[in-house]
Amino acid sequence: MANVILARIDAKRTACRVEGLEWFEPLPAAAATRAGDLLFVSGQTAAEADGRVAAADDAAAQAGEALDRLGRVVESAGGTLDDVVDVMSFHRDVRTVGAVMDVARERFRDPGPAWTAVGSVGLPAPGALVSVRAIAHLGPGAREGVTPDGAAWMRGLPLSAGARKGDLVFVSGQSGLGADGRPSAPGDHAAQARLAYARGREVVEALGATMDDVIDICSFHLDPRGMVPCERVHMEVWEGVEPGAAAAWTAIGVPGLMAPGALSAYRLIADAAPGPRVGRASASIHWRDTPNAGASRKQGGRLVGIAGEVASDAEGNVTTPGDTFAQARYALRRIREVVELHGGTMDDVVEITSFHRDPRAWEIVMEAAREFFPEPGAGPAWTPTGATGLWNPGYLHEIYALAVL
Amino acid sequence: MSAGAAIRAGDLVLARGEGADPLAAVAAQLSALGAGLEDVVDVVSFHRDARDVPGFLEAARGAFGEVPPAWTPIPVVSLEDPRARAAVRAIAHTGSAPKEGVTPDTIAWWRSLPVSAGCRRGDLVCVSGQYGTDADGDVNTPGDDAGQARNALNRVAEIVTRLGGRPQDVVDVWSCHQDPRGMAPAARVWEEEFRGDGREAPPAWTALGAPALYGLGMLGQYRALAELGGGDRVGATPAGGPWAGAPGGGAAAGGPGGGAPGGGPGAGAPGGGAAGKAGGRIVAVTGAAAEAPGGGVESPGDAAGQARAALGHMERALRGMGASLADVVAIASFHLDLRDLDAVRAAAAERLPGDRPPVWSAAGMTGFWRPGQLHALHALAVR
Repeated sequence: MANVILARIDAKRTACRVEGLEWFEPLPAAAATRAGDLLFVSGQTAAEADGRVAAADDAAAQAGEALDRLGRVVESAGGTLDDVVDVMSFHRDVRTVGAVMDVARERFRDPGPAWTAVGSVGLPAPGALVSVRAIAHLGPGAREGVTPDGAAWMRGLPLSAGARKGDLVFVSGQSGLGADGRPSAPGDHAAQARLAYARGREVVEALGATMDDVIDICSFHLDPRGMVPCERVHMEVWEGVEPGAAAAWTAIGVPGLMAPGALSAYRLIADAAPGPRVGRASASIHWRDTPNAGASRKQGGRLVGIAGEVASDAEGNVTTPGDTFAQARYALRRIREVVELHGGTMDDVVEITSFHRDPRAWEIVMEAAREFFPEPGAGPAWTPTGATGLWNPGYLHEIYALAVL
Repeated sequence: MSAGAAIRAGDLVLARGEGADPLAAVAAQLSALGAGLEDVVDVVSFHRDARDVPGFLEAARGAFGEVPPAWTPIPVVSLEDPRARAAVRAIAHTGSAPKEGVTPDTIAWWRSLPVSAGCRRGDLVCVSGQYGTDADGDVNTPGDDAGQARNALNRVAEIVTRLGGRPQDVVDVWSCHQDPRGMAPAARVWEEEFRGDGREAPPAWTALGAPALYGLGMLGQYRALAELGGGDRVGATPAGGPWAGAPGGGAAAGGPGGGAPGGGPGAGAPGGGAAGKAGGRIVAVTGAAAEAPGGGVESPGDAAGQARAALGHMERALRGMGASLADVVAIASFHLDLRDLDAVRAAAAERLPGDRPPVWSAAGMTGFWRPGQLHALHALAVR
């Protein structure tokens, strides 16, 4: 792959057309997007344009290629991997995470970015073993990183428990683990979630922000049924927070987490920009009276975290059971609705991470997305991955997004 | 060594294969024990990606002689060999009876596949994993786990009947659910199907969460083994064990008891013991999990402890059927995190006979009957 060409597509989201990643061009998505200092890079894999993958059975080699592609995208935008502040990687087999981390160690300097590694039950190319999506901050200054003693097990890895650049703080998926990386409360979803939140708070505060700055929460759960006790913990942690001042929460079932025995991992985004946190929820959201926002940002900030949208009506019923296309269209409409409540448009949506109950759904979802991102190749950076379960077993997709206003 | 690659028990030969060409590996294992692919009546293939399944089936076209076997492809989270894309477990029957295959009109779409919906040789009937589809292959009752379960179990009964058996001859069922929460609605259908008259014990039932199924929109897959003849279906629920209180179960094998996964007191686990025909030779043990007495999860978060608990249930269930761990010819172990496999194998090595290890297939899945259960260990014994 040679140079990356950055083409300004519109006044808001700037889609990056990437040589070697032309397969994005007919899609309502982009390989990468830029908004101000922030660069959002879609899930990079080792797949070629025709879907073939060279190192079919070698996750480390594939990770090397994916990280090289990530590096080239960032460099073409004028940055380096040192500017990467947040990584989420999706692994077809979590037993290979260690090998992927070894490959990453050669590329990321200390302090590393925040990095949340979780399992996937399917990536767009069937042969792809790992997908790496990232956010880089191309503004001045250096990436700060912190790994508190309580998360000491992370210190051997090419990542930080939390990373900051500018006002933005990203927290690596925190789990209910002791400093040695072993589960503190084996088998106990609620206790582990409580500890994960405590660790997340510690990291956020060590980087100069507070829990009041947290705009976005993504939690990954080893068994989708584990979300239920975690919901109780969520309500405890955010008790007293009005929906209009709440963070966005996306909860996803995944087939594996980084540490054996961990039942959940919580990745947080905090924005230290001034002013209170502003949450908005669309009328259709059935949890709108809880301390959850459909989308959240700081009053003085530009980044908006949009909770994974699903095919749920105002009463929590599945809108169109079993209908892959209709559920995707509905979720994207809800994203549009909630972005508009924040004063933005779909042109402000810079990144989508879509979680699918069946990875084969992705192509149908792309068709549904054309209505919302009509210019081919100029949509948000889009990372699809297969999930083991969403909040309601009838949801076929959960579409998680970030916008920059 | 508690894990073997092939084993013979009378005229049955079981083998497994992984690696670049799992089917060739199976053929080699069978051959060493005097069987061939043409004797295979049942195949279960485990796939790291559901999108590989059509090509894998097509590549096997013709490999099994004129009558293809029953074939259940199961997309999984992970395989024992992290580099493998597929693994196969096969049951061959080397008897002299003709091998028969059937694919009923109700699922005519299957006829384009190189498989039989049901395959029989002698007293053994194997039914490919059935889905809730119509003759064209379209999914019945989209989004409805119970509706699809009913349709699929009706197909199982139809196929067994077409091959000369009765639904009561089914001794073993595996169900795969696209969402582990789909097990609860499926359990209500199971109750209707197998407990309606309360006369016979239900089959052993192993319910697994799978990341995908053969086609988009399919929510459940139901695979069955039946043994013809041998009188009534009987079951064994370990005395005092977690499944002993199954409503309507009596002395029979347990059953889901109507309890929802994650809730419901006692008797909640599918199958809950062992089942077979009173005078038959095959004993199926439900996917044994770390079910605590009175319900709940034994040894939360403890992979080795849960394996020991599950093996204890397996051993007691077999004993109740007049069999023992020494009779086990195949184990299929399913795990929430395949990194636990070594701990499970170590626990099994303490109990399983070392001289005649069962064929052991392992796969990572998305969930079992209760959240918190880390494994489900299915066993097939020949007594």
